[in-house]
Amino acid sequence: MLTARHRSALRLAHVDGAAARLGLQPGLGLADARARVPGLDVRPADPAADAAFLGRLCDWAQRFTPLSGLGIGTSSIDPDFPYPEDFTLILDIAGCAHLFGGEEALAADMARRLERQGITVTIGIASTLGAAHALAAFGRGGCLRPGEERQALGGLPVAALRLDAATADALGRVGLKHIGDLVDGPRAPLAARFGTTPLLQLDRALGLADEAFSPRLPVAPYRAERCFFEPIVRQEDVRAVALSLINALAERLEAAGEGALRLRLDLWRVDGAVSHVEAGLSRPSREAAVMQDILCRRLDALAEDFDAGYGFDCIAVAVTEASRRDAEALSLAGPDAALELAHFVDRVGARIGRGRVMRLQAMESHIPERASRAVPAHATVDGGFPAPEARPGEPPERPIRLFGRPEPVEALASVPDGPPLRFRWRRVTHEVRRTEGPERIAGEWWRQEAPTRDYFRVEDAEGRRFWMFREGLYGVEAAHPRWFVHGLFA
Amino acid sequence: MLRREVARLERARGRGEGRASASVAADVVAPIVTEEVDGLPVRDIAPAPVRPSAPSIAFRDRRAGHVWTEPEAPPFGHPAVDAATGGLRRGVLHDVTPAGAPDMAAATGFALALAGRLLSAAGQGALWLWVRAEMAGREAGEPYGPGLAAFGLDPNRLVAVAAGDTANVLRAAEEGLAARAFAAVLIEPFGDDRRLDLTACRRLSLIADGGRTTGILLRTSGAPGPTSAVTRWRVAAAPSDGGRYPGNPVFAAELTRNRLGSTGTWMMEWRIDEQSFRAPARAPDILPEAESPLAVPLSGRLAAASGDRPPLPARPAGAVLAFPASGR
Repeated sequence: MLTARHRSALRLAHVDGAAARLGLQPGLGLADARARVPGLDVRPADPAADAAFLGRLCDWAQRFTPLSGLGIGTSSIDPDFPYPEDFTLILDIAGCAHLFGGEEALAADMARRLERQGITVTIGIASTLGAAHALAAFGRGGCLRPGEERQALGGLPVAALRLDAATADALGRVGLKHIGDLVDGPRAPLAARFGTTPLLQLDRALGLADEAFSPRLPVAPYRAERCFFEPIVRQEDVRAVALSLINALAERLEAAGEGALRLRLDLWRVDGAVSHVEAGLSRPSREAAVMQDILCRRLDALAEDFDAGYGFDCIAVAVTEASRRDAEALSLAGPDAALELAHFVDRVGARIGRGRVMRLQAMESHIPERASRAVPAHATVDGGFPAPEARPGEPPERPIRLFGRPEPVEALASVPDGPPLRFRWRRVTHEVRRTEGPERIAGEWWRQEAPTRDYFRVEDAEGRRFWMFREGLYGVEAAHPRWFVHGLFA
Repeated sequence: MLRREVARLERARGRGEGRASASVAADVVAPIVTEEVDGLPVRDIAPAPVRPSAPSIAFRDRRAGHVWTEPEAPPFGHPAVDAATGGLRRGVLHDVTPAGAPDMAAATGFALALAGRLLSAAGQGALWLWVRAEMAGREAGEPYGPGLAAFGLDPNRLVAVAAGDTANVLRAAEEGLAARAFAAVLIEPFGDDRRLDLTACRRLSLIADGGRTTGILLRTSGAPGPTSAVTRWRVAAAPSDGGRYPGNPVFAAELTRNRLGSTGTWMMEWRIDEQSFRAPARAPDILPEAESPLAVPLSGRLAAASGDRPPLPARPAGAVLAFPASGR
């Protein structure tokens, strides 16, 4: 059994079947429980781990339906002590059940698979979320046909309507202990005394009011999956299945006139773990070859820490983001540079990371290190550099390589604002032969007070060219200004 | 003419060898290259035979579906270099190494100048790729947009990849060479890495050979390893021709390996406005001692003298002081 701390006292949060038979209930103080039953096996509760596990289970359940979400609420009696939590998964199986041979067969299949993982579940199926929840959390599960709710729920406690503990308690005190008591009772006095919530929840359970639920993962607009009788282990097989699924998706994208922007490969391992492999494209594409290429590269990149375990028994490929393809891209007969570039960015991005493929963007700043910025290539570049201007015979004013952090040097220079005469950088002394400068660049006062920099273009005796600056005006901003090498000219 | 012919035959044989080793490599390393090289799938080639040299360098590019002839080699613009090399060969791999550690900027500049020649030859809108190891960027500096623009290369057309290690540098470089989007691919690994061996180098050559992209292997750090490149340049910085002020970049370039011609050492000046090399106008001499700023007596006119172009009149200066790297 598990405990959680509540007002500096440990109380039982969850009890297993054996403990429940001994009369122990969640909410009971640990000291009381020990007094009643000595020798309890007690562990602290870990809500974060529970939530993570439930999340994984929710992903796993996607093999039955793309719409799976987590239940909300608690079946606690004490409003201050939110245990035991509601460990409920909500699956919308409308339109999916026939794939598994009907609702009962689906439930049986799910229960069997979960039992193999060591998880005990109660499955309730009904045409409303409220009724299914009540059946699963408070009843013994089962499958209700539409219209049977009223009768089936009648005998369940009012808390099964997902009411908060205080309301359920108040209803119980006036003798309305079961849902059946509410169904036939007059509505107006009930609403006046307890608010509209109990009636709304009742209507939702009986299908008289609509209820929406939000799935955990966004619903993919296109999805194809395949399940296997025997699990597959080899990466080549996984790849082959993924490829054929992508072919199927490509046809549907073609029919809808859309292109995929993000792809997700879901792999269900036999022991219940689900892994996702995601890959993005910088241009919407519906060509199977392109999508296969990107996904396979991503798969290869992950191959090292990829654990197939005892194999996968179900594989799905989903297009999680799609957009209409622009007519311009479709009309291309041959390969064009922009398309080639997009493919290159996708292929390399899938292999080594999308953030590592960059383009340079010009920024509005006169501070050298802020004048150019690297942005991911799949993002659009809006700030372009002005076209290179050809000035006959003029040497460049900016270095080809810039250090992210200017490197301090020991320098010998004339004061107050002369160029360096000799400096020592990376343990090598350079005798300065030619200099040009200073180019004075003041700090951006609106950001923070930064000292003025005097930049010099410097050439040493061997012909190596540097971009150096003195930080601070001698005697005004700094008593002993420091010198830096900021960049290298060719 | 005879030398040209011999070189051509040699090249054809070199291709055969390269293909064989690459097919082995493709099996051992992850088979990244599944595209066709020379119209044949890489994996299907038997490892042994040296194929008889093709009747001409023209071969069928099946992907494009038309007969593809070797692209014209743009000239360097430096008469002596052009005579020795026959121009900057396209669709191959070139190798650029610095003569010493402090010459990494000169080597970068020379590689960029080669890329500039290739971009000029490829025409408007051609893209270029710079794949570098992250550490190389930290050690030698990151590509700087305004500086590239000032050097004559359009930074708007640059795709810059920063890869974590040599394996990923090679991966991205191979993709870049295989893609038909780039006119030039700069490949800059970091340090000595056993993964950058002859096999890896041949793979790069081979992929460049199949496409129309030219690879420039820029080794700014580490010892120059084995190479299968068509040319290998050893580049050192040389004093510029600017008189009192730093002028256009000048390189002391030594062609240490050339599979298609002779080798040699030349002084090469990069003309930014023409995007072309030329021989420096006058012999690159260092300034006469008297002109060196340090030689001027301290009591005289000194220092802040340098100024900007056009030269400013010298002002009376103060004292010469030493500034330590760590300030107070």
